Amino acid sequence: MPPPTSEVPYGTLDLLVLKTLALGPLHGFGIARRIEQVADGALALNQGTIYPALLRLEQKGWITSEWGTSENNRRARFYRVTKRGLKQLAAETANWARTVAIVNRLLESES
Amino acid sequence: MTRLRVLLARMAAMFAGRRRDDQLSDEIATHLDLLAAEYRRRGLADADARAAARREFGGVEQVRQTYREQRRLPSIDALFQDVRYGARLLARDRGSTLAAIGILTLGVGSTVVMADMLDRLLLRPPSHIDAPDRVRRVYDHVEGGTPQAMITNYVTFERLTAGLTKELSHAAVYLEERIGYGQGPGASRFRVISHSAEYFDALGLKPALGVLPGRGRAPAAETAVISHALWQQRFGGTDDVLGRTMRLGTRVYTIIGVTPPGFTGIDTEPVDVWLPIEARGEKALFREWRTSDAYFMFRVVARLRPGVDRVQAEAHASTVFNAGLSPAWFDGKTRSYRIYFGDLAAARQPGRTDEVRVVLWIAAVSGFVLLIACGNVGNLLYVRGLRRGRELALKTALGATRLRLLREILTEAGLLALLSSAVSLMFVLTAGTLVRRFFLPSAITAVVPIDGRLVALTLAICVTATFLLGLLPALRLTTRASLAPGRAAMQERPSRLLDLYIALQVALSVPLVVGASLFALSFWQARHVNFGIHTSNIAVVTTDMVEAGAGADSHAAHRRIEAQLRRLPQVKSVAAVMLVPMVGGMVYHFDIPGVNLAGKHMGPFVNGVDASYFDVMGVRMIAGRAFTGAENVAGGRPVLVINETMARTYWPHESPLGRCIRVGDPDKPCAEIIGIAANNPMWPALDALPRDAPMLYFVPIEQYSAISWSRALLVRTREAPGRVLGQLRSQAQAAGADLPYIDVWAFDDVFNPALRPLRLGSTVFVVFAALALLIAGVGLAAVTAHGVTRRTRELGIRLALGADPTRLVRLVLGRSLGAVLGGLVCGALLSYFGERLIRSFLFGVKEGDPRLFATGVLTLLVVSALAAYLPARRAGHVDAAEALRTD
Repeated sequence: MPPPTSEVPYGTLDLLVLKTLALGPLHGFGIARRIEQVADGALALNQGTIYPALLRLEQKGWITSEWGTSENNRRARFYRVTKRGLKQLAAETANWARTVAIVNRLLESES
Repeated sequence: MTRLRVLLARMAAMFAGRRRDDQLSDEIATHLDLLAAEYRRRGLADADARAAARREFGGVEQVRQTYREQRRLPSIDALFQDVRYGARLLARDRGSTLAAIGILTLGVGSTVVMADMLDRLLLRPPSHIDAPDRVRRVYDHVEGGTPQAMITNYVTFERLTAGLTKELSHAAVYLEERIGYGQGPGASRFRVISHSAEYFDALGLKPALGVLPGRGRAPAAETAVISHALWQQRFGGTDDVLGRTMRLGTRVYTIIGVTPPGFTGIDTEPVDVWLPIEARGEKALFREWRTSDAYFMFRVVARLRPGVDRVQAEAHASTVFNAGLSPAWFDGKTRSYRIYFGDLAAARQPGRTDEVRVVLWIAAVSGFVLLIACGNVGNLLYVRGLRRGRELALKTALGATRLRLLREILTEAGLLALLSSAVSLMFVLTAGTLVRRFFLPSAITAVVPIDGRLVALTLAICVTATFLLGLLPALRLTTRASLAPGRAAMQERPSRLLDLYIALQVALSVPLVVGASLFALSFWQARHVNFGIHTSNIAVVTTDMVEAGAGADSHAAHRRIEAQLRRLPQVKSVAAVMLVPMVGGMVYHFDIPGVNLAGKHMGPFVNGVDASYFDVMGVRMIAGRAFTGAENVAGGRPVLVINETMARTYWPHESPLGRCIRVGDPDKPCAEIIGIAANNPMWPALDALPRDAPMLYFVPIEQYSAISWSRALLVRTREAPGRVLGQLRSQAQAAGADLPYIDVWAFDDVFNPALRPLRLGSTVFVVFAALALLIAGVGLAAVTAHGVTRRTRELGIRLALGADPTRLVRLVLGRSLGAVLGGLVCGALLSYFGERLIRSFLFGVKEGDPRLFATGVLTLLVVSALAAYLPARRAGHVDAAEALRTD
């Protein structure tokens, strides 16, 4: 029986992609795979939806891209996080941590 | 900040093209390959691996779609799409598109041109005047009369303005003159304004060059200010014109200033030169012009102080005027006057003139034409929309919302609007110039031809009209009922809306046609009024020897000119007169021995004429005879001819022939009355009856040449003088190099001011009626054609079953003409009530004359029948097989 899956919220996908790229440049397939690995099946992600997300991030200036060759010798676009993107990531992560902390505190306070 | 960056990126992507989208395809292909490779590694067969990869990836098309929408701005994309589609539709239906643009141009263009004329005539003040609403022309209004621009003497002017210093900051008088410049063949005549010291101050004008005289800057008597146009044309537009001299008449003036470009005075004729009154002084004016209250020759203009209430100022002025400044009347009684500070433009004076009313009517008429044009274009758009019924239904079935369809239809209408606006603007600029030159007095046309407001108005009307017209059909075409699946694209039920459009156009066209015939008939009648003398084919030739300083030579000079003119083959005969009939009148002291003259009658007018006058002017002799050439010499036998009114007045019961009248000095011999001439009106009013003409008598001109230097020649030409005026002038000028400028003009020009409203009305009405007929005809043709197309299948079946083609044609025709008939009835009613409104302009036309209405209705019927018949003919030729195939 497969573990419960949940749809990835719109904004969160952007965050996940940023985080993935912070570890190093990847192409679209690579990013999708990475995210799935980390989530370990807990996320249902249509791999195709990566591309609009990547476009959004590029439009916001948080990542850039350039052409390269993939493992199977085909042309692929490799994405890389920018300095601005890293700043954004740091800010978002801090935000997320703060939210989680607040929620945890609330949950723990009811005893 | 990030949002802005995203927006910019998306905008940039609008221009970047499809390359990025293609690259995405590459990316996706790579992605799918990698996925498939993975699945293959796990052991799946190639085809299964690919399928699994596809599944995991998700919908490729959807990704592509989302990507595209994210990359660009979808709303603008949709707009471009609509525009491209709309343009394609317009191009495909070239015929009706061109028709719509043409019709809209005619309708909008004529309205805007008329609005411009109205603006120039009524709304726009003369240019370069500072605060024009404070500059006022003084009018006087005697009880029982109509307000007239005040013409007064200098003494009254000074006293009046002295009592109004609180209300007026500046006041000036001026008079218009025409002074000759140069001699011989190169001579010309300038329009001159002789003005008092504060004229330019009252107007608040700033010079283009030099100075303009004013209070505190009193000019030397011999200085002149010239107009900008004159400066450019005669003095080369160079700066050294200041200080140069020009000789006008007998005196020499130094130029000290140039008025700004576009300013041509405050009256209807453009002014060339402004001179101080002191310069004109005794030579042209009377010596006591400044001190006497007898010389009524000046117009008055004044500037109100800021903050002064005009109505209060008028009341105060009236009080001052009535307290001893109002003129005495010939019957000794004083009358109460009211003073107005009216607008500078004569067209806007208190109490509207006929001309202004006609222009207002023309504006209303052009509004009609605009309505007809809009109705027509509405037709066309609606018919086009109906043809797209199936396509719209299909789109709805595929998921288009009503809003989306509306946007599509409106975009098409918008494109049409833009195209029509562009064409209309060009039309307005070219036609407008022609119209202005034709109709308006020259001063007004001299002003700037293009006005930003005009452009804005054209665009506004075009866009509004097209959008509104596009909206109504669009709304109707996209209602759920008409788009319901299964309903045939061509609606079987004939459209009520189209019938309404047609009826509206016809109804509006009928009054236009009737109005046109009324005006045209009036104009024709007015031009053929019998005044008792010849008025056509007569030219007036005269020159002002007084201006040349040789007044005593006036008669001799005119005799020389007469001799020259007789040589021309186009000249039938020439008569010499002291005064041109219907232009001036003079009185001499006279005495009738044996008749008591104490009296109430206005002194008889007198004119000196030669023997051929009666023949040249076609004056009929009722009794006796005219004088002969032998009698018409200095010192000849004293004879004269009187007119009917004079005979009736002084000799009511007996014949005046043989009686005598003493003219001029009492020691002159008594002149014998040898003939009675038929009456003719003294003044050129269209409704002046010869029967009511005042008393007039004729003396031989050569016998009285010592009394008056005034002389003019009346030339009877073989053809209409308009064509030969130039030849007459050059021939006359050749009579002597010392002659100043010789004026030549057609005698019946004297009726022009009275005829102008009728001429204007009839020309414009006829043009607009023709336009309306054209537009309505095209609209009807379009609708009938659509009707035939709509019923193609039905007609084809009928033909195949053996129906008579003529009957089918009649069927289609009957349908169209039904609406026309409805329109005709409404139109006839409209005409009937409309005629009442324009009755005051008409001349010689019986009220409610049914013949004219019948003509109007019939014309429309004929035009409509023709317009409907041509497309209806197709109904009889529908190919049956073809018809069954369409649906």
